[in-house]
Amino acid sequence: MTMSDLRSEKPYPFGPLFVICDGFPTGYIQRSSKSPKQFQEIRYCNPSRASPVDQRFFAFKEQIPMQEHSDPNQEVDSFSMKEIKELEMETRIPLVDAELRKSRFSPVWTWLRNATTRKQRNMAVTPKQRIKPEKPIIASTGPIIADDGQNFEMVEIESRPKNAARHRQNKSMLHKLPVEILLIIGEYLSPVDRLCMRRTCGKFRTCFSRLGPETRNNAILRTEIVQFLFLLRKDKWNKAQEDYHQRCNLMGLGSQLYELGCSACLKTHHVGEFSGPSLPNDMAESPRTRICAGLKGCIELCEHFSFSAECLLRGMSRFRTMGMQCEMHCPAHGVDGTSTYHIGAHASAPRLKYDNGNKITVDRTFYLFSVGINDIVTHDALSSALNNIDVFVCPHLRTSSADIFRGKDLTVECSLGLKGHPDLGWHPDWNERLCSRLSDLGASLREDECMFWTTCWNRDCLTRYGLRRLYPRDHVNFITLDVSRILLEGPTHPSWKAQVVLGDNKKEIRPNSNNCESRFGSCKGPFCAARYNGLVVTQYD
Amino acid sequence: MAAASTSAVDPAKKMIMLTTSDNIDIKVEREVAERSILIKNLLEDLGSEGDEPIPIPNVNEAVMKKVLEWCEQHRKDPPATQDDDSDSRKKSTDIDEWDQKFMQVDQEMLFEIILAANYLDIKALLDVGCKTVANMIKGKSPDEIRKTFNIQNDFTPEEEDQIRRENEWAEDR
Repeated sequence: MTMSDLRSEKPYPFGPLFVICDGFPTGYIQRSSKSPKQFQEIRYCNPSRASPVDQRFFAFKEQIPMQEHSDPNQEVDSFSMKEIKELEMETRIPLVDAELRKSRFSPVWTWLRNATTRKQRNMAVTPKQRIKPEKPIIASTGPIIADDGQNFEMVEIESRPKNAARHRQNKSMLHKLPVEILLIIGEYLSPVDRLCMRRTCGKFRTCFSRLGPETRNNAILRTEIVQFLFLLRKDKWNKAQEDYHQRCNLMGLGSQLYELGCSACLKTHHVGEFSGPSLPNDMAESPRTRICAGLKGCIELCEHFSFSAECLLRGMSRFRTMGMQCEMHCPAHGVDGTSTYHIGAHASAPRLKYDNGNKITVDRTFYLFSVGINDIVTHDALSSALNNIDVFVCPHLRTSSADIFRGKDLTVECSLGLKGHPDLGWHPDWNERLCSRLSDLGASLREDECMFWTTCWNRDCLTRYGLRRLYPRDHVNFITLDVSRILLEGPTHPSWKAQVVLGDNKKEIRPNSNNCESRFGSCKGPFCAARYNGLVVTQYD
Repeated sequence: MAAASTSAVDPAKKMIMLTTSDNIDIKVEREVAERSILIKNLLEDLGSEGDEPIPIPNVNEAVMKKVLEWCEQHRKDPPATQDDDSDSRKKSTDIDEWDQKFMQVDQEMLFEIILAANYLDIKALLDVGCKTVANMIKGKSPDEIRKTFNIQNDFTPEEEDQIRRENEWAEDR
């Protein structure tokens, strides 16, 4: 049996079958020249692209007993068709895709065509016998995998050979400037800009190190650190986005990425993440523009600001301890006509906080009314105040909802008792009470504090809210409703999806510049927070 | 100084000839050309008659014309004082409106102007050029700077590691 007989044999009319790992072709499978019932995997020399999935795949492959090799020097493993199927099952990677096999749009083909025309990758294809890494033969427009079944290999030219890069620097006029002029330019730059310049290439790194004290720790302002960090993260994000788009280009129709990729999360989701009860099915959309259901819509901070979910996702990836708060709630007005500067003040303004890269907290305090320090607040007063203010608690509740506190008797009084006499109950002198720490107006809302937290009836929604009595050091107490909403992990988490409001009927404030990358006009996220009056970026410790 | 002369032809208005690197002769008023300290010193060294063209071997015609356009506009500017310039120029990157328009050229021309200003010793023009470049760098991330100025990232992986270690205070906060 000759090679051409083998190739003409169905169902594999086009010879090699491609091994796709995590979106990248890592090799191909062809029939063994020794035994037509056996398959061999030819791996591309592409170690730098070995993703964790690749490694998992290769690790698994190692467990399969090797068949005899046609050429001992060649890195070839043999598989039976059954084993390939098993591999597919185990790794959940489409090793052999029936549709791709039949079409000319094999991922490798598409990828190479893109790679050569767009010079996206310094990749070249050479027959194995003629590998000359220093002078690669760039694939032409002809078919890449030759029909004679010759073993082709992908050769990755060293991605950043130093000399070549230094040579290409000649194209940059800025790079060619003499050092004394670069130093003058450096004097006009801020420390953050100089730090960024030092990150661009070797010459600037040494050149700009002579200027400014910014390279020493503690010689740079905290806000400057945040700015610098923001710029570094921006690069990281852009790179991830570029990678995603590149992978979209490589992958043909029918691939997992093409079918299930989300262009904002930059990864594939389960099919269920793309359609919601009120959303049209987006599976027909290109993976370059498609976004998952958790990102369609916005999250409201207060009546002044709401953020697009996509913007929050970017913020989450960029900020660990940053937050934003609306300063337009001071003074706060109650339903009894009183107003107070205490509630709308800095620490209790509506605020959105990025927490450690996997959690977003949205806190609000609504001022209801004030009472005398000796008055006990009744259920009726509270429920009518809640009815009157009728504000948004979470997407599932308003304060006027009948079941907001599940029919319980409303109270703001603590039953923790008195210091030394825990059984005695409420006492007008707050200093005598166990819950006296609540007098601290700036106290952040914590689970263990003396408050009657209620959670939203929706199980997915991580919203807690409760009534609270504040004891400032004068003759009135303030009654507030505190709401704390939490979004965990990311757009596919139920708690995130529960907070997203579809559609946007908010008053839209358009960004002053076109730098906002959000798809929603009302986005006020990390890119443009500083541009809005009343929205303040803060750093938490 | 030239301006103090009262002879029939004001030496400041006297035309002089400059020969650029591509062998083009450009006629220009002496006062304009003297914005360049290099040319001014050359003229002084050559003496008052100096009718022969002055060779400027490092600057071509297009750039020279652009530089002279700037000199023409700023011919009456008081000369920068040597003492305070090192301090005052540190902060502000404000550029006056005419200079901003003047600097709206492609990157190659911008850098040619800077190099010419450096060579011809025109401090004010050099500063305007440097400010323009600084403004182009401002607020950009390292990758954006590379893209803007066509700079290649020539760090080896080891160097990248070292940078990351040095800037640990800024990473992943």
